[in-house]
Parts: sequence; structure tokens; C-alpha cells
Amino acid sequence: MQGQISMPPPEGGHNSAKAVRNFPFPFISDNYMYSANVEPSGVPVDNGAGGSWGEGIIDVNEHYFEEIAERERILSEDPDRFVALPHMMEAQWDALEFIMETLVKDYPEHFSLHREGDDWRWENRLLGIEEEFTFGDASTLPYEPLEYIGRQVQEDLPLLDQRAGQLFVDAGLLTFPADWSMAFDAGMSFQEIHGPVPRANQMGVFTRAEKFLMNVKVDAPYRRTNWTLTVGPRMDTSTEKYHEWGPDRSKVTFDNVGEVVHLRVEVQNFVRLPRSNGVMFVIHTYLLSMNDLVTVPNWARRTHRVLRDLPDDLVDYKGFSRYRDTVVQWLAAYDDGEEVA
Amino acid sequence: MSHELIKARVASIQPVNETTKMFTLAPERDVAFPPAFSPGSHIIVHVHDGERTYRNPYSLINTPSLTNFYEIAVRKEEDSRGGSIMLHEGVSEGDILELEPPQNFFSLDRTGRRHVLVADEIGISSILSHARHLLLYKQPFELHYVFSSETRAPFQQKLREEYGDLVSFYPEGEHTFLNEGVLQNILDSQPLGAHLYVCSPEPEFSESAIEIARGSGWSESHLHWEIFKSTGQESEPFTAALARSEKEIEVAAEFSLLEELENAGVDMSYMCRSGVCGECEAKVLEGEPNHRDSYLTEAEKEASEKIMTCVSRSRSEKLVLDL
Repeated sequence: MQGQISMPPPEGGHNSAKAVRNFPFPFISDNYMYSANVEPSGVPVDNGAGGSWGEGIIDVNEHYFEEIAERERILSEDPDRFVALPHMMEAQWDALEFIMETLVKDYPEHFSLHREGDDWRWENRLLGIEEEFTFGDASTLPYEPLEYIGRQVQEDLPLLDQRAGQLFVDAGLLTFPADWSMAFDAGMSFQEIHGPVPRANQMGVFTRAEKFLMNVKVDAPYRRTNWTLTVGPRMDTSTEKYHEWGPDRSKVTFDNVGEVVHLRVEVQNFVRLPRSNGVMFVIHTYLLSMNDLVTVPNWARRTHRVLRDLPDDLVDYKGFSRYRDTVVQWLAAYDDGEEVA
Repeated sequence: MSHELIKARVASIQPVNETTKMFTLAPERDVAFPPAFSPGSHIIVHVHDGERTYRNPYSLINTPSLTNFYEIAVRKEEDSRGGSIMLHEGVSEGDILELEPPQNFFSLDRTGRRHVLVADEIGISSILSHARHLLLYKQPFELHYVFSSETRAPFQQKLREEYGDLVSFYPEGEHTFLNEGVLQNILDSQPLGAHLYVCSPEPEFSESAIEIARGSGWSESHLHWEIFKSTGQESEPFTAALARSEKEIEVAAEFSLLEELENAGVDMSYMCRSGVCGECEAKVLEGEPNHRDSYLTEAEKEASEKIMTCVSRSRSEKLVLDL
């Protein structure tokens, strides 16, 4: 994960060959159903395509500059993508500390941090940032702590407060959410936010998930993946921008599936914040075009089967009812029925 | 969940009173501890005694934002139980201890408008980090310290110096405090939005205090309590039969079910070791558990189908577990 940041190819697809090879392919069987698919963070996963993902918690990859610029643009247009209730200030500092320390540990060639008590000096050489500030004093930074550091990473960052035996999404910076809105959800409980998810609630998934999250320990983060399909490549599929991306879903045809339909995967890490006892979600969104996906035969087979057999209510919730059949037809040509190990 | 152990050097041991010592734990070498901890956190200290390993939870009592050391207060238990005796008699300055990173099941509610802290005797050690945090961040709070004898009330002098008018002492003990309207008066004078935190070595103290608050109309979300696990609670031995592995384990009076399971080589998942997190749950097939946890609901406790092995015991001579 170290070395020079290469860029994706200027034409012909979203990802370089290397990024395709290391894509976090989410399907571990031919059938997808909700499960508590959590595992300890930081352990690389062999994705079956000769590559791996998941070695770190913050990923600085070939999309860094374009996604940082995109985030900047979105925030200037819509400042509400960053929300923090007043009691979350300590959690914000926790988040800043965790992200800075993680970047320095995993990418020492790009980032450095000097700490003398509360006097901190931060350097982000990729963006040419040098900042001296007082840890704990938000007036010494140009933005609130979470927004400040959030503008320097590609991940979406909801912060959850843990109280009264529940989790509440009381702060966050999100520019690349999969059809939800930080401003709308701010202050809601974990259970409220997940109310609309079909099947999972009846299965008790979120009750168990919340219990699990409330027991995540300092220095022992966990992760899971989530997925949907996106017409694009498009990172910002927030509810706020539905009027922009919603209509794209009717433009998928058999001829353009490979180019415009993307498997959208979120790698979500869950981190216990030590000072505030909050929980930070570190969500990195990856997009893979169907053209790139079918370069790995087992991914093509498995994706075809998962999409074909996914129950209608889940397809609806994930938001691709309109073009599911088209994608399945297109992928069928890449599925010879052979078993995928 | 995995438990990465931290190695810590015992930087100093200071007597607090006749029964309690304060241990200051510093990084073994020039390595930082986990970055920080939140008020109300505890660590689990692993103490080896021959074949056995005690894993005892101790509250962190120093100011949470000062992160380069940990302080714990250890009261020597009167009975023969190992962990605290080993720390008192078998550990010297310079020794290395193994501990698990801080965890918190007695957290401060940061939406609170005012915080009312009530400590009974050694329960003060779970309350101290709250008080220190609130003082540092200039949040409105008050501290009430109840005890029945001087030897059971460490840190009195220190509290007087640090907190002045914010701390009140109740040397006449719990009966007056709980039953003669003292706590009631404290609660009645609080503004809306106040939160109550109670910590005592006696579950009955916390239960009564919380019950009084409920009776005054305090909402459940504003009530917080931790049972400071007194390892010296009177306990009866019992037998745990493990149905799947076809083993029988004798649980001695001075050990917990979880400790005996671990000692017998059963791979148990655990976290808080204080009956709050639910991680060490076992399924009960036969027998009547004596529930001492604060994790299971009353209905679950009555159903007797689950047991928190870290604190709960058995009313029947034998408990058959699905292990």
C-alpha cells in the first residue's frame, strides 16, 4: 500500500488493472443474504483474483486526488454533509487522532505527525498541507476536527455516541453515501436508521449488530462489507442528489451495461474511540464496472448468480429493480454454470 | 473477541489506607499505551498464581486525558481469593504486569446537563475518573461519598483538596443515606437533564439508589450504575456439567464460573468480566442460575435459559450448560 500513488487510466474505465485486481469483491457464496459478516480489521483478504484488500483501515489509493477534489466540491455546494452535535466534540478529536496516527503508520512517505503534549504539527505532503494546532482546541484548526481530517481522506466517517444502551449517529462527514443522508439521519439511533431495511429487521440483524458494535474494543476494530449497484461511475449517491442519479437508472441498456453499471462495495471498519467511548465507522466506497468485473471469470459467475437470485424486496431496497434483469441477462453470457470454489 | 495484552511496568505502589493500595502502571519501555481512555473505563489485569491466571477488572482512576500512565486502586480482600492478594503481596515496583486495553461499560452521558455522582466505599474508584473529567472540562457535577468506616473510604483527603464544595461525605453510612431521605433530597434538587451515576461494591446499594431515583420519576436513560465487583462476595460452591464436552467442573466458592471454565481449558469468549457486556453468555440446559449480572432482562433471568458466567452462579447444586 505504500509508494507513489498511481492514477487510473485516463480513458477506458474507472480503475487501473492493479485496482481491479485488488478490488474488495464482496460475495463469498452464490447466494447473498444478510448476515453478521464481521471480522477483525487489518487482515488482508484474498479476493480470488490474484490480489487482496483490507490490509489497512484507511486506504489512500489511485483515486485519492480525484475523490478529495470531489469531496471538496460537494462540501462547498452542500455544507450539511458535515454534521456534529455539540456533545460530539471529544469524539471528533478522537477521530482526528485515530486517522492521523493510522495514516502516519501506514503511509509514512506521505504523512507525518509531531506531538509535544497538546501541540501537534501535521503534514500531508500529498495535498501540500502543513498545520500547527492545539489538540483539544478547535479554534486552532480551519474546520472542526472531523471535517478537517475528513477532507484529507477518501472515507465517509459517521461517528456514533454510545449511551442509554444504544448507539446514536450524532456526527459525521459523508459525501459518498449509498442513498442516505447524514443531515437527515443526524441524531437518530442506530435502530431508527435501519428501520427501512427489509428482512434484516425481522431476522434481528440490527439488534445483534448494535450489541456487537457496542462491544467493539479499543485497538481491536472490526469490519464488514456492504454492496449495491450504481450507474456511473458515480461516488455521490446521497439522498440529496437523488434527482441527479435516480433518473440514470432508466438509462441502462443491454449494450451499455458493461460500461455504466458498477458494483459498489463499501468496506466498513468499526473503531472504538478511546476518549469519548464512541464508535467511528470508516467507510471506503469502491466502484467496479461490469466490464472490469468480468475480467475475473469467477467474479462474473458469482455476481450473475447473486443478482439473478436476489429476492425482489432486497433488489428494491438496494435500488436497482429497474435494471436488474438487464444486468443479469448481460452477465449470463459469462456464467457457464461451473462451480465457484 | 481477541485480547491483545499490554505489558505494563509497575512504576509505583502507594498505600492509600490500611486496605487499599494505588498502583501506577507505566509503559514497559518507551511505548505508548493505547492512546487514551474514557471516564468510567476499567482494565483487566492478568495476575499469574502458579497454574492459575486471575483476570481482575480494576477501574482506571486517573484523569482520562493524561494518557501516558494508568492508576488503579486495589483493595485487599479479606478472604483468600487470589487476585488482589497477589497484587498486594506478590507484586513490587518495577515488576511487569499484563493487562487488557481499557473498556467502558459505565460511560459518561455527554448529553447530560448535570452529573450527580454517588460512590459507596471502594465504589469511589469507578467514579473518580468521571469526577476528574468533569472538573477538567468544567462540566456541572457533584460528588457524594458514602461510607461506614474510615478504613473503607480511601481518597477522602485528596477529594477534599481537589473538589472542595463539589464533594460531600456521608460517614454515617448507607442506611441514613438511602433510607432517611438524604439521597431523595439530593435528587429532588436536581434540574431537568441531570444524570445519576452510582457505584458500590454492594449490588443492594446501587439497586436501592436507582430505585429511589425511579420512584422520583427519573427516566431510565438518565440512570447509570456499575456494580464494582467485590470478589469477596459470599458464594456457595456448585458443579457445572458441560453437556457437549461431557465434563464436570467443580466451581469453588472463591472462583467464578468463568474462571473455572477457563481453568479447565474451555475456550470462553469474554470482555467486561463484570456482568454487563453479555459476551461470556452460556446456555443453561438444567438447573437454576443465581443471576448477578446487569445484562439479562428480568424476563430472561426468570426464564433461566442463559447465564453470564463471569458473575452469576447457581442456586441448584448442579448447573448443566450447553458447552
